[in-house]
Amino acid sequence: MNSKKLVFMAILLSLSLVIYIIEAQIPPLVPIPGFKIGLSNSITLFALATLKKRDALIILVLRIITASVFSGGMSAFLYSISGGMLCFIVEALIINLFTEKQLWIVSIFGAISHNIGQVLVAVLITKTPYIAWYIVPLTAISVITGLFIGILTTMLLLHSNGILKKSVKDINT
Amino acid sequence: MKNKVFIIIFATVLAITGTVSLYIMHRHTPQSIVLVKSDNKIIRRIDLAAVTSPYEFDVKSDYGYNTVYVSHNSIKIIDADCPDKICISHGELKSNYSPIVCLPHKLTIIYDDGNTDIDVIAN
Repeated sequence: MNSKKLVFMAILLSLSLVIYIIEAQIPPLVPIPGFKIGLSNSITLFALATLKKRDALIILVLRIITASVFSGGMSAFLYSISGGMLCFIVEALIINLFTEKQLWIVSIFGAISHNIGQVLVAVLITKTPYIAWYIVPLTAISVITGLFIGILTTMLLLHSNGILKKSVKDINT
Repeated sequence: MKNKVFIIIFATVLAITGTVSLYIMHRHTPQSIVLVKSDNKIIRRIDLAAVTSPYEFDVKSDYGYNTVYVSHNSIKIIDADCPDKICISHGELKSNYSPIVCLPHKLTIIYDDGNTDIDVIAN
């Protein structure tokens, strides 16, 4: 691991952490429990598109751990890690099939699997199978938020292409 | 080409899940008996039809407290010390498709449908 890559990953981690904390302060826009745009997922997707998958995973896991230290605690950590991991696995599996302008597709699939992971953990923890019905409205919301995050990430990538072209080559060696 | 296919797929998914979730959210199937469960144990069993004057009680656990408000044919959470207050914004219990849940405190309030909780009662 060279220092350029270390710095790049550290910047992405702190960016996603700050975005996460700021987003947590915004009051919910719609009165649906559990609704979140998940802005920090755009950094995960950005890392997946620019770095190696292993490095993107490191950023995600570290973000979840540090974020649950700052807000939430143990049970929030369980939900974040289950949703985050499922989302990551799905996105990592399909991202190579799409171009950077098609990231919205990857992002929607990721958002849907993120919510499915969280609801499944909620069912396991509370042992109330009825909660699984909640996947339905969350999937509807995921399509919208996933689209938004995907477009955001594409814009982020297109804007940072100039900087990245110079440094990513050394980062990914 | 690929884009169009996915636009159609996601639009369909959105239409179906949106319709179904509107149906679920507005479904109102009141029953009489509700179960208040904390950490998977039934702590109270209330017959809402038999409640004449409203009252409230606290559910305390290792994780925190929730204040439950019970009145005739209605039950809801009115106060809690969790960070997100999702259980309060949920409002009153309408159907088992949307049970009242406080995830951080592992508290659930659902109608007793007679088959889910035999194990818990027998324990």
